Amino acid sequence: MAQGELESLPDEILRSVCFFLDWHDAISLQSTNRRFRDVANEHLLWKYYCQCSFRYWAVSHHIFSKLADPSFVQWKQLFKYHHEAEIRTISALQGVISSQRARTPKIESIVELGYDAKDALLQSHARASESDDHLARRYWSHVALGCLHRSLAVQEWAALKDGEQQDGSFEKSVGALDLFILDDAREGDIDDIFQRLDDYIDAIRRAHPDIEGQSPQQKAVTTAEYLISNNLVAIPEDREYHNIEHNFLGRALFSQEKNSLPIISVIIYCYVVRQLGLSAAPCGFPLHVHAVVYPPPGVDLEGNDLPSGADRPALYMDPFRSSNPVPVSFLHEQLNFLARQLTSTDHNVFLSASTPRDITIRCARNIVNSLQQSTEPSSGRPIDLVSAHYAALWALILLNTSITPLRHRQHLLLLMHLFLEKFPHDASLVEKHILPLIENPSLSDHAQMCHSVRKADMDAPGRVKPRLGNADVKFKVGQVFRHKRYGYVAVVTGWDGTCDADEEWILRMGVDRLDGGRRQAFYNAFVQEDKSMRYVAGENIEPLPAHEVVPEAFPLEIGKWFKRWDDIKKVFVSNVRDEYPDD
Amino acid sequence: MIDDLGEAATSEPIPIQNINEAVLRKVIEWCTYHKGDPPATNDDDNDVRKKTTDIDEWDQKFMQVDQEMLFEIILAANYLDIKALLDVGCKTVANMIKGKSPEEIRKTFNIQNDFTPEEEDQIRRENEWAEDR
Repeated sequence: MAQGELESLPDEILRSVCFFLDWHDAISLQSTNRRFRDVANEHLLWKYYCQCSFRYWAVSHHIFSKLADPSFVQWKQLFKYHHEAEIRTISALQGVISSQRARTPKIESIVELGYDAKDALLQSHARASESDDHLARRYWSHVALGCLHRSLAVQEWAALKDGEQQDGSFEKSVGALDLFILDDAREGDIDDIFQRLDDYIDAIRRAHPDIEGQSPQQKAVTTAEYLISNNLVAIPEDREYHNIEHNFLGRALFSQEKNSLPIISVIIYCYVVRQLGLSAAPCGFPLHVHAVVYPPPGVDLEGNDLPSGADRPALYMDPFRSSNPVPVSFLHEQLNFLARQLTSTDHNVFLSASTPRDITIRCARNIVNSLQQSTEPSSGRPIDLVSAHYAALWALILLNTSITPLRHRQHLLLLMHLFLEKFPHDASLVEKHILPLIENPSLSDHAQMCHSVRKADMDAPGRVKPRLGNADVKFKVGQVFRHKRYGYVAVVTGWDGTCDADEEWILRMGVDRLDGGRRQAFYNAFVQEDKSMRYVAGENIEPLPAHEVVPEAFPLEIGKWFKRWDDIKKVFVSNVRDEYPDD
Repeated sequence: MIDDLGEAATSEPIPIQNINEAVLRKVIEWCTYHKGDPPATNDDDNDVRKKTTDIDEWDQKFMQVDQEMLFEIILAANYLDIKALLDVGCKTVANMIKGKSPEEIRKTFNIQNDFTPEEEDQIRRENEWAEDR
């Protein structure tokens, strides 16, 4: 091809060419000569690279105000900053995958980067299958993503607890519960929640072009009508009321069904009518949350001027059930029915606007309630029930200061149990937000527990178990087997030469009645069906014939111990070789 | 619309400077082939997505010309304000840059390195962060 003069093209065209390049090609082009150095340095070009390369940004960047601010030109620096955060994320994640030791501090270094780390974690999760340790990569990205989400949720609640109650946002505080169950979902994060709510408003304005001219009461009714008739709130008869899915704002906005409990429906409703110029908040009515709606200052519900000194009229709405306003007399009657001895002050409390803090506590209680009552699985992405419970406990402990000490202790115990068993990498969250709530933290069991979780992480893998001297241990880490007596399918994740459980367990399980007794090899095992961990005597292990193994049937957590399935040897490839170097 | 312009508009030639005949023929060839294309949709400014450099087969073949002609076509498309053709041209150039080192880019387009050693050192240091990816 004959060479022309690329440099004969004017700057504007060269710039257009740059918009078709990847950012690293722009870097290469910059290094060719002076003119291209400048052309490919344009801040609008780097703004574009920022926007199309990264979806999530740490809160500290205030990315939305920068995007809207034409005087901000440091886009290349910002790109560099985010890019470097991703490099650090990937390298920390690599460290977590490749060594059992000190995983928690590495995950914490990722969490400290905030949402600058999120794109990299999502990508690592999504593209894990390209790597030869994909099970481990997917699992540990999932763990780090969970830690990151939870740290943001907890920060939100901690700020709500410390700051002025009225300043919080219902959507953020209740949406923080979603962060615990978000995992790698592409939608449902806090920003998405606001985006979707704004979409609702646009849709209502399109459907009712005259809505801005309506009276306050008409606006309130029109909005409820719209949300109800488009099935954006409430729960149809044929679905279980207490389904766990109905407790989460993000789910209500992004699931196929868009069903939600009254409290969530009211939050959605209030946000929309607020954008239409009214004041609105959930009110703390017992059993069934209503919305209390006020017209703008100075006018009544029909939009007429209020005489000065007149009470601001309130309108009660129940968008879960109907688009008609609920007469306040009916609400008073209900309160009297519920408890006769209530004073008029009590009535006022139940009928006035609630705070984000109280509403979040109520949502958390609903979650606990749903976990006890519901059997129906969620319709869309499955919700991890343990994570949902953990979310509720965190919210209750951080926000609910007016409960009995006994209840508080129960919540703490449950939370610490889940931390220990399921979320040990949340150590810094527990240290920062839970331990200070405890009297004499240095003496408490909780602090000890936290300390030992950290120590176990730093000392991992603890005892190293070579094959030498363990000739009786027949099966290796990665062996898939069926339990001879109970029939479940599981994979060996570790072993002991002889039974290493405590005496109480040995007696309770009747280990000495086994043919081989306690002097035979025992295996740690991860059960395919219910994710439980078992400790199994060697004599009860029956290797599963290779053609019966379905490696994909094992849940995500398999990545805690394994890199991948080896289809030739028909075993899972160990990622715990620090501990079992010969397996 | 053309009727409104009166006799002179259709009978008098419109001078197109800066474009030689061979290039104009190429441009007309492109326009003739694409005359049935649906009008370009106005991209939503709020929705920033990565621009694709995919080029359809006919356009790829059409753009298999020497660099001089390629740049002439781009200039002509710009001058005549044919946005779609300009995009195809820019994509073609972008694809010639993609994945190349600075030295390879210089070779491909005969770009003279006019950096002083100090400048070269400076740009290297400025972009060091992009190395490890």
